Amino acid sequence: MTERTVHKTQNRYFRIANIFAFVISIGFIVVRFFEGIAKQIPSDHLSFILIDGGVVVILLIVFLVFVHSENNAFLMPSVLYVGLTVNSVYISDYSYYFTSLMVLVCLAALYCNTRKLIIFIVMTHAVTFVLVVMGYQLTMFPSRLEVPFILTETAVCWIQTGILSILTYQLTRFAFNRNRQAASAEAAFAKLFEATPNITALMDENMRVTYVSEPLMKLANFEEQSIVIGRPIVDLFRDINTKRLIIDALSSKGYFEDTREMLIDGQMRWFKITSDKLVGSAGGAYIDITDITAVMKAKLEAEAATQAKSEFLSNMSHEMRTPMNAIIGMTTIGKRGQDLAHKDEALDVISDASTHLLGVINDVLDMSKIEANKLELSYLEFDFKEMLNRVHSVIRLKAVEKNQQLAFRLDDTIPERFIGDDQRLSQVIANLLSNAVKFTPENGSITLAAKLLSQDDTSSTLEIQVIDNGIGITPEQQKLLFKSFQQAESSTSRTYGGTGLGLAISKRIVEMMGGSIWLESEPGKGSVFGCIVRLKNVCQTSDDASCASAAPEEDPAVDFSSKTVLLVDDVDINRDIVIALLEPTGITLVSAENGAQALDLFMTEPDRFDAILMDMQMPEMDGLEATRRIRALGTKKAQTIPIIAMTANVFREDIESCLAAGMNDHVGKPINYDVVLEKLQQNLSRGGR
Amino acid sequence: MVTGTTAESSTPALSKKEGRHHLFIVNPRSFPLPRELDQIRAEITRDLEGLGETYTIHVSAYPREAIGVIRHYLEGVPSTVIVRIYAVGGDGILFDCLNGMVGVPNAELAAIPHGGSNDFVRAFGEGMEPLFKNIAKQAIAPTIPTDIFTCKDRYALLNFAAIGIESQVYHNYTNMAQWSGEGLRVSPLLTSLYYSISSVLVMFNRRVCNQYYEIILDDNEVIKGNGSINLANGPCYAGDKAPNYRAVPDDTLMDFLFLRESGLLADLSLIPSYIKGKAYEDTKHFIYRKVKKVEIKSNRHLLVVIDGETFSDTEVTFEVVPHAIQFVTPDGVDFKRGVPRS
Repeated sequence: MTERTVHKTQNRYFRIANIFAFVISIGFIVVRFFEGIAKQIPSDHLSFILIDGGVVVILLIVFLVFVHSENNAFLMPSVLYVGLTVNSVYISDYSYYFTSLMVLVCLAALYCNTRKLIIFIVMTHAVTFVLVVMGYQLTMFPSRLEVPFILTETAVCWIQTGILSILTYQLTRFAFNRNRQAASAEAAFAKLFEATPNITALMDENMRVTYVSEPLMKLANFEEQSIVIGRPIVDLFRDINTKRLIIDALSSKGYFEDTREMLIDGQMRWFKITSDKLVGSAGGAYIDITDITAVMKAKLEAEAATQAKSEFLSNMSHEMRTPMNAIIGMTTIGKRGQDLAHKDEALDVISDASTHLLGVINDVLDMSKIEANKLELSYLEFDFKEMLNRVHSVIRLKAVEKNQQLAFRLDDTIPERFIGDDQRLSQVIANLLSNAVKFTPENGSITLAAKLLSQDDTSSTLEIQVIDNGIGITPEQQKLLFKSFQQAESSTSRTYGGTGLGLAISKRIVEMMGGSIWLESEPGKGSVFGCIVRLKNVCQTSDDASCASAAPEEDPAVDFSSKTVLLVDDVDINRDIVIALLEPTGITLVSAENGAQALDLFMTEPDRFDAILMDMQMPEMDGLEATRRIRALGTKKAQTIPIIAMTANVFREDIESCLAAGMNDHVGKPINYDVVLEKLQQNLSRGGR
Repeated sequence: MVTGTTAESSTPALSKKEGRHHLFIVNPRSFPLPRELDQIRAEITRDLEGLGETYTIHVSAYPREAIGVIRHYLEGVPSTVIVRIYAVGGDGILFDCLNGMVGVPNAELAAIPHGGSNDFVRAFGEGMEPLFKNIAKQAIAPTIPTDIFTCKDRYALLNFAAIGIESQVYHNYTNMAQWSGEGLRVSPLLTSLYYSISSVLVMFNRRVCNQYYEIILDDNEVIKGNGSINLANGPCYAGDKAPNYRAVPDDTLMDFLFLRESGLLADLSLIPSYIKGKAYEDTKHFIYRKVKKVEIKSNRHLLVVIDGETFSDTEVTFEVVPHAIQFVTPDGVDFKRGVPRS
């Protein structure tokens, strides 16, 4: 009930009061009329009856005009009083009209205050007095002898009526104020209740609705509250399961709380239902239904993600421990073995296991970069066919082991060279081919088909498909494939191996290349994995600024035997590995354990060294600080000596930090012999330019 | 909840049927005085003790509670056990019991009429209430397959449904009955008075009278217009209202009656004859069909009354489920067919 309703309620009271007053007054006049006839009043008194009729007409007009007017609460009883006074004067009986006057006063008390009421009583009694006197004077009224009696009777009635009126007025006013306070409180409560975002209802002791919130109205598809109020709460819910839930809630002895999922409008939603009985004289209960679908969905998604990550960690643990087991085991065997062939065999296994382990670690690192949004592509010119040849040479070995046919078909229109990240592109293609080999049985066939889809001035769009006649993938499994931490099913990794990250990584790389990746497959009939990538065209003219750094220079061959390199690394075994790898080239390596030592050595004999291999994270002075200090020495040697970072930090900002500090190049750990040689070759031939 | 079993005693062969349970759902509002409630409990206990079968008495705490109680009870009973559910009270508790047992093949429904509104029992003919009040006879009585209507995914109903003018009249009537403090236990005189006042008020409510409906009967015939819709399984409701007296609860069909809105004065003049079942002869103002399915749509929310219960929806579909329940008939009485109600 709103404030407007409270106001309407007052108006209703006022209308009822006026109707009641009018009916009483008319009734009184009618009674007096028939009383006159019964008493056989002389004919000239009938004129008085006609006057009464006129009074009735006036009263009717006043009633119809003012019945709805709250502001004229004072007027209606006043007019009625005058009419009744005239009537009673004619009939010479004043007691009855004072009784009805009391009724009018009570009704008027709904809107009058005490001061107005007293004024009203005094004025109306004064009017009565005047009329009585005038009546006497006009001889239409009682005789002179009756006047004192009439005045006495009138005075007694005045006092009696006045006192009773004021008392009744106070009581009525008190009751009205209490009702108004309750109505206002109820209106405020109802407004608050309607505004709640929850699906909530209050019920009486018969579980019929007394208050209902707007969301419940919408849920139940009811337009008007008048239909809902007074209905059993169970009726507001549609399906039988929901009804039973509500009944269970209301039938519980006390507090009830439960979380249920319900199918509503074809969608699964979760609700938390609470219910309790209301204490006090009112009785009844409340029920509150909170939509926790968003929370539950988030919880389920988080649980699913946690579960997936747990499975992934378990899987990764297996993937990492397996090659580690081989490395550790074969190392032991190799050390103990006397036979050289056994040692070679052990080293081969260690090499394969190390490569596999490195692949797993790279996958995990790539995935973490993707999750952290830090995977970036490089843009260098490369030969497309050469890139495919490298991939082919790696995959062919695996295909030969399973006696599979591996074929590459390239469209003749594909340009020879592009600008892009050939490493990442070859990673994608190798991943698709590797999966094809893995999931195609022996003697199967795998085909890579590449074609040019479109080409404009700046870029070319290629489509690359890998087609196999392997085991195929069901539609349910296809939905999971490109998600991280998922394989088609969890048993796949146990059967076929793999981290389950390759396709997720490939998808990300392809999307970064402005393309897309897709799959068509039928169980038992094979699969087609396809991707579309966009690669920049190699510039055709020397005016193109983007060509400026595209074409790498061909470096002249370097005689390492005449070179001395300062090797800075705080880990002994890392230094030993580098020394063991590079010594056969004839290169001379001088070791330092940290940046401070390296700086001292360089400052002592700056011309001794041709290049510096600098680790990053070292005690006392790290690689970045050592490089800055060396460059800050100011000598020409200090400015130009090639400093190559050796670091496991391979994020772009780490590489940029190295370059910003003054380093010339970067090799990632674990060290690849060919890469290190290549970097030394490049930097020594350029002399640190 | 009161339960009881007794030692075996000589009983009619029917009552000794293996595995029958008796579940009495009592509407306390039909027995306003405590001694009346005690009397009915005692009567049930006396009559069922003599049978030697398991019986349970549950006094319903609030409307629709019986649905949950009956469902729980039936889930706890093997499907080979016949459960006879007695609605002790008026049509309201009968409605609750129907919706608690519908769809359960081993459940039967019996009505023990008490209180104000017992319209469905009158489908067996006038003056049959005393027979149905005889619990001992009800406990051993046979059953008769009875149709029900389903209303979308809301409720099943046994007696009637109304939409439009008639539903608004009924809705106002129930509000007046509750406002007067009598709930639905209303004397026939007051029922007529409230209904008359409600009818007049609704006739002046042009928003209700002018609501437009699109009705599809049996996915075939389409009726469009303003007015009032009455769907009947039983022949009468709300005491003396029997516009669709030809309706029989086991004919596997729904009696559809549509009153075309014809203006205030015409509607006022049609109401008395409509209520008394004279609509069949007046094909100008009424459309009558026996159908299996009715779909009703409107440009505004529909106010629907089913067996005395009200809800609102944007569109509603009623379908007959032929012989869906077994209704208990003491002394094997049958439905009274096609008899105008006085």
